[in-house]
Amino acid sequence: MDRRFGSWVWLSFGVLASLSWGGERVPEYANDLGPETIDVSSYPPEMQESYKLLQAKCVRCHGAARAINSELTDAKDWARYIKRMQMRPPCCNVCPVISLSDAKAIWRFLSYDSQVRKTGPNALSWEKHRLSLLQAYREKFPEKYQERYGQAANHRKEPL
Amino acid sequence: MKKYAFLFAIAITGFSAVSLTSAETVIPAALTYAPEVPPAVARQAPAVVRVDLRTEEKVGVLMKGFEEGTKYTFWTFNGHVPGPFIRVRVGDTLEVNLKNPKANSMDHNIDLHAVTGPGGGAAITLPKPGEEKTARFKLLNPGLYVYHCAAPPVTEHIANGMYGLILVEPAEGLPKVDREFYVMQSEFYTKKPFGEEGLQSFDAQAASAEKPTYIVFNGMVRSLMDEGTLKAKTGEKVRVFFGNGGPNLVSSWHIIGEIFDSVYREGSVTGPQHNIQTTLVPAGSASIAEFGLEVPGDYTLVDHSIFRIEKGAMGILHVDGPERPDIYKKIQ
Repeated sequence: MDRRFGSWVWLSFGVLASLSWGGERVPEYANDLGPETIDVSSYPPEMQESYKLLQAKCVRCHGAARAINSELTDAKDWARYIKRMQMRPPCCNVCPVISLSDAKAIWRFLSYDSQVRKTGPNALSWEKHRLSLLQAYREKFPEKYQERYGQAANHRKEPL
Repeated sequence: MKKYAFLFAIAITGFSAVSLTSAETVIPAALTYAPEVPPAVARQAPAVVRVDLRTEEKVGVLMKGFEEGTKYTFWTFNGHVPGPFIRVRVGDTLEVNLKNPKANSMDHNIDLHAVTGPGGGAAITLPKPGEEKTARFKLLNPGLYVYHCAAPPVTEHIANGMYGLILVEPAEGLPKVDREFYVMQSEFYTKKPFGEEGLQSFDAQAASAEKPTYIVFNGMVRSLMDEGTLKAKTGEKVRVFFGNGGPNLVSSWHIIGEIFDSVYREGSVTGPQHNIQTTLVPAGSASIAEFGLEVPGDYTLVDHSIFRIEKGAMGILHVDGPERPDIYKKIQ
């Protein structure tokens, strides 16, 4: 009985999830399908603070998943990306004004986090995670996948 | 005898006239740098107003960054981009002294759009490095005008930051306002993309193709944000002197959430138009906008050719004051 109830719950979740993707808008990036949070308890306190900032500022315009599951790893790429985000006007009170110091903190966090989670000993597991997101995106949104990633040689590039 | 007395009288008169001319009062211009504006001209009569300008080629910040920032070798008037705001009165004689220090690599000059005569003054103000030139110009037409360097190649001198605004007030002055700001839009063309840190170099091909890397207010990305945010209060009337140094693009200047009560289009101070949402400001021209502030909040200055905000064309006017639910309120 319990097992059957559990199956119904999972099925309902699945239906709701597909309805929400189908009825609303298609996620912009494969990143958006991944987790919205990460465990930063082992990070230095300064990075934990910056993570809070990322969660507060970035989610005003898009899910934190977009940054967390991004293929970007290089500090230089992150700098270019964040500077672009800084140039969103705060006209409808949705896009936050990201001050230079906030932007710098978010940049430091994303550069640090990329090194920890996406390179070195974690490079393989990260690669696997990233590919699974791309695979799921291709299956669920083939047209958008083609538009977003189809032109890139390895089908993995995120346009900056 | 009578003949000698007559000649003596002429000589005395001539001497007096020369003395009067040499004793002529020359007033130093009060110069300010963006976003500050000098006070209105209080004089009721024309005067000779002297402006001292020094050309300077210097490395400055085009965009603050996370490490060293984006730097650029600006060519400037008095070390600033834009150059100083010059405020004079119609009928004044502008005496411009232009020094070009030896350390510079280029000849420089000044073409003031407010000046009547060849090159707007450029033809007689072209010091080589280590030289200086002085010239006088009678200002015949009131208005808000751009000035810029026109030394060859003029394209590069403007692209590197040599421009500013000169206001020639009408005899009766401009209507009184509570605050005035000086804002100037311009583009920069670099070989590396937007936000790249370190010293950037000028990209002549991008400039020729009119594809700027940066479009900024007052010479730097976010110069009117963070600590540079413009500030005012509700109940105040504000005037913005908005110039466009170009070198290429026409600005669709707009303030999100405001309607310009009066706009003196293209800097013509003779007759404003009213209730303007967005005003076109051509490269090498200017506009004066006046507006009352009723509702508190942040008002974003943009070039409404809107993708340009991503290249830097954005600033904020922060307005403090009590809420005005009679004008602006959320229902649900």
